[in-house]
Amino acid sequence: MVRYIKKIRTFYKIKKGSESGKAPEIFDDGECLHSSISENIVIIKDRIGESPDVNIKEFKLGGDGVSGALIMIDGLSDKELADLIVLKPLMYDAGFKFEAGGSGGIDIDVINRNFLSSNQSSKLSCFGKVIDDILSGNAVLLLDGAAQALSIGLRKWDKRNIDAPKTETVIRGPAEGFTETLIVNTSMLRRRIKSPDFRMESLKIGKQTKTDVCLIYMRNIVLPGLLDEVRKRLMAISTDSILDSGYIEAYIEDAPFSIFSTVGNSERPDTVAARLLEGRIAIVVDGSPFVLTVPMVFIESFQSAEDYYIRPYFATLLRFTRILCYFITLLAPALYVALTTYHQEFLPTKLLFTMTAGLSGVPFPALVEALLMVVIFDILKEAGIRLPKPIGSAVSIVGALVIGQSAVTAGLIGPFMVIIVSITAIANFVVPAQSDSITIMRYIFLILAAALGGFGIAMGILFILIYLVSLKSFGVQYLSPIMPFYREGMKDCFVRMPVWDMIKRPFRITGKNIKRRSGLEQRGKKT
Amino acid sequence: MKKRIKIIFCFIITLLIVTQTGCQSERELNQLVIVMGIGLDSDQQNPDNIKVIAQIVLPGSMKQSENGGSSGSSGKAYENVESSSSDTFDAVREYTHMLTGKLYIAHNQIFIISRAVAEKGMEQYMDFFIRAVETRPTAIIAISDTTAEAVLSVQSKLNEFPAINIQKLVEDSVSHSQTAEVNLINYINAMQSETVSFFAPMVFIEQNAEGTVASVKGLAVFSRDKMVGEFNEDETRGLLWVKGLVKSGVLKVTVSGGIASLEISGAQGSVSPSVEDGKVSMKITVSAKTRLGEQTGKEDLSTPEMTKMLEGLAEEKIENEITQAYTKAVSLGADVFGFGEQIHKYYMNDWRKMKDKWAETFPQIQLDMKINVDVTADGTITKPILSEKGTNNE
Repeated sequence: MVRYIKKIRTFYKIKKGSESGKAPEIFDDGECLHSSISENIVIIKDRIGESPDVNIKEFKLGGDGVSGALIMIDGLSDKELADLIVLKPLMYDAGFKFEAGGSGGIDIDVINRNFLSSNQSSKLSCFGKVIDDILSGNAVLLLDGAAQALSIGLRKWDKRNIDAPKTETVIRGPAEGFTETLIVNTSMLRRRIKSPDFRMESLKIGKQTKTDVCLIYMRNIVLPGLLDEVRKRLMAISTDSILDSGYIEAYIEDAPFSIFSTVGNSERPDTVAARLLEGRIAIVVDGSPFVLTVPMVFIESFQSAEDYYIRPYFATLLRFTRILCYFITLLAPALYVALTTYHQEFLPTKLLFTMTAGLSGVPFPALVEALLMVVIFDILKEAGIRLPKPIGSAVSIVGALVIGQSAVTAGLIGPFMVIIVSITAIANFVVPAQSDSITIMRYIFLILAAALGGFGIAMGILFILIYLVSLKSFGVQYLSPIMPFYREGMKDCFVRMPVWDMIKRPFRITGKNIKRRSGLEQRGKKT
Repeated sequence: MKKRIKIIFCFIITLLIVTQTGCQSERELNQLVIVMGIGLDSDQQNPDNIKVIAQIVLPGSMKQSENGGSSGSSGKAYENVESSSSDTFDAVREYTHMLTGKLYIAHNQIFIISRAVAEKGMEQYMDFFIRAVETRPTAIIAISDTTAEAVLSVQSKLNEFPAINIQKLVEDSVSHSQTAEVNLINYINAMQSETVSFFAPMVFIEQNAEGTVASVKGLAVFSRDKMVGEFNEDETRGLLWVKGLVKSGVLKVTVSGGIASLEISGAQGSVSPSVEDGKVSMKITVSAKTRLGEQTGKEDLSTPEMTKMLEGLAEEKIENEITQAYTKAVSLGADVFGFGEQIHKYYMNDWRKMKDKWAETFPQIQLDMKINVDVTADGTITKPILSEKGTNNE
């Protein structure tokens, strides 16, 4: 069966690969601008349509000179600034130089150089580019007699302020998260890494959405092959729309049928900056506060930004807690079912009595009992996320009291199952990065435990381990640095060593620049 | 298309493996008839039959006592059920007529065997339990002075289940070392050995003002699987000294003006055999660390001379206990010490010769005892606070 899944995967890869090499499509039919402004305006109107937010301001230079037009989209461009830096100088100050029907042509460079007090302007000559620029928020200036247009950078729209990240909250550490605006996100990263080697590459992906996607890496650290691979996979994306970084993730991930995610994401600039400095590549997508980082490894899910800001002993303790919680939330209901239906001799005698006493009168077998509670927990979790906040608390009261307490008093389930599901639920939130795969595997383990007992659980774990060992993310083994073992990587795996001891970067993917620090001086403190 | 059919086929096979082969030995918790203790009695009406008594847990009444508090005392949390047949398996099978569900003996803590059954030979009745997969090999074996049923009915104030009560008593025997903890593994080992005699703790039922109380002391001594006699408390400890099983206990010695009790805080014992010209001698080395726990006299026992004297008395006492045990073992013809095994281990060739006449050789063994007792502490005071005149204010 594994072989067949692999076949699907290779098939999928070939399909993806066949489209590679093609540059992301830009809407450009190559038609050039005409010199007549009225003709140009008609064509642009035809292309964009008569939407109410398309703002075409026609005017004459100097009040009665050459006619011109400024085209922009309401809400995407700064209207006041357009008045100030484009319309005012052209209408009041430039008129005497360019009179109607003057020397025939009009030099658009002169206008650009002498009259526009904008720091971001470029010449365009094709309709395709003109339309693209208008739609992305720039203002486009057309002048009669010129077969070129000027695009003026006036992008400005309402956006969310930089806010504390909703996920991955920490107590100690920076409290700012990415927003939906690409340029704000990249600036947050740039502010953290003031190195000339911090490089960005911009792409537009999506035939319709033309979403800006930014590839960020440290030029001196990243492995060139990895960069090429990421670039190739991004180029190969051929789709209508990219609305969130999740779309990109789906197109570039190594194992599209896997329940494990092979592309990491983060809402925290400090986390992404740290990953960049480990030699990974970040993919920022306009419109999404979640920045993708590749390659991803399994142990990454157990690392929190705060681990590096607090002292190493406690950070290590937290790591162990998270790993423990991973197994609790994955296996607790399954172990309960296996123990109560197959391996009663494993229970301490006293506990067996209390459990039997608690279960007397419960009408369902352990599997049904466990499934019931696990499903109820998933319902509550989902409802808690989707509901408006004020109602959310009501749901938790109903969930905790009515279902927990009453189900036991009514004799529907045993009191132990409530404890098991509670600890499962709480532990579930300790490892949020793996929570989706955990939820699916929990059901699988439940059924395995009910059918085959502890043997089933052992088989399940074995199968998943074999699978994880074979999984790769952009050429990096998913279970590294544990398997294959890499000593430097182990310093930031189960145990978080002091920062000054992590001399080398944790992955073998980095190019020549493996060391973070020379490591000769012990901590910088010694002379 | 062909590929898709194959994938579906694989999926169905996986599904069938999980659903059709599984759930075979599945048993829900509330269907279990949990057995806490098993008693073996001989049937009064039909002496050839074995009576199997099972102490089963009633989880329902346990729950009541948790919630109700005051009402808890009324209901027992256990019930003794009994069935009788010519063999154990048949008797256990009989329970299916009386109980909804099979007996679950994986949590059985103790086997209590009546004196009558033990004297008759218990192996034929134990075979079923040794063979069963579920049986806990660490389940304790105890011999009842009367019947197993009587022992399993003695309600204790501290433990809800009589079976657990006896088990705890046997486990706590380390504090006096006057009986031994013996489990199923020891039983199996002893039965497989050619000469070693099995022994098991004795349970007595004593009447006192408040009712009946079970007490565990002394040992039942076996020859093969038949009980041949008893060791009293001193003889039991004599045996345990040799086997190195004494961990704690009290050594009482008489000194001038009263009694001094030495509390044993740790002890080691070992046996090394030697065979010369067919003459067997056993070198028994015992060393014990003790501290003065109590004295009834007024003499100052903390001086070096007195301590020496105390140690001498204690050594004498231990030697006496060992000799008593050996004498009793000889009179019963039971090699409880495992001397035969020792010779088997270290003198293979000699053993082959004397194996068949071990019964004659065993009483001839010369015991060469080397006993060392240390009194390491006197407690928080040295001499008694009300001591003899003149020695008080120095």
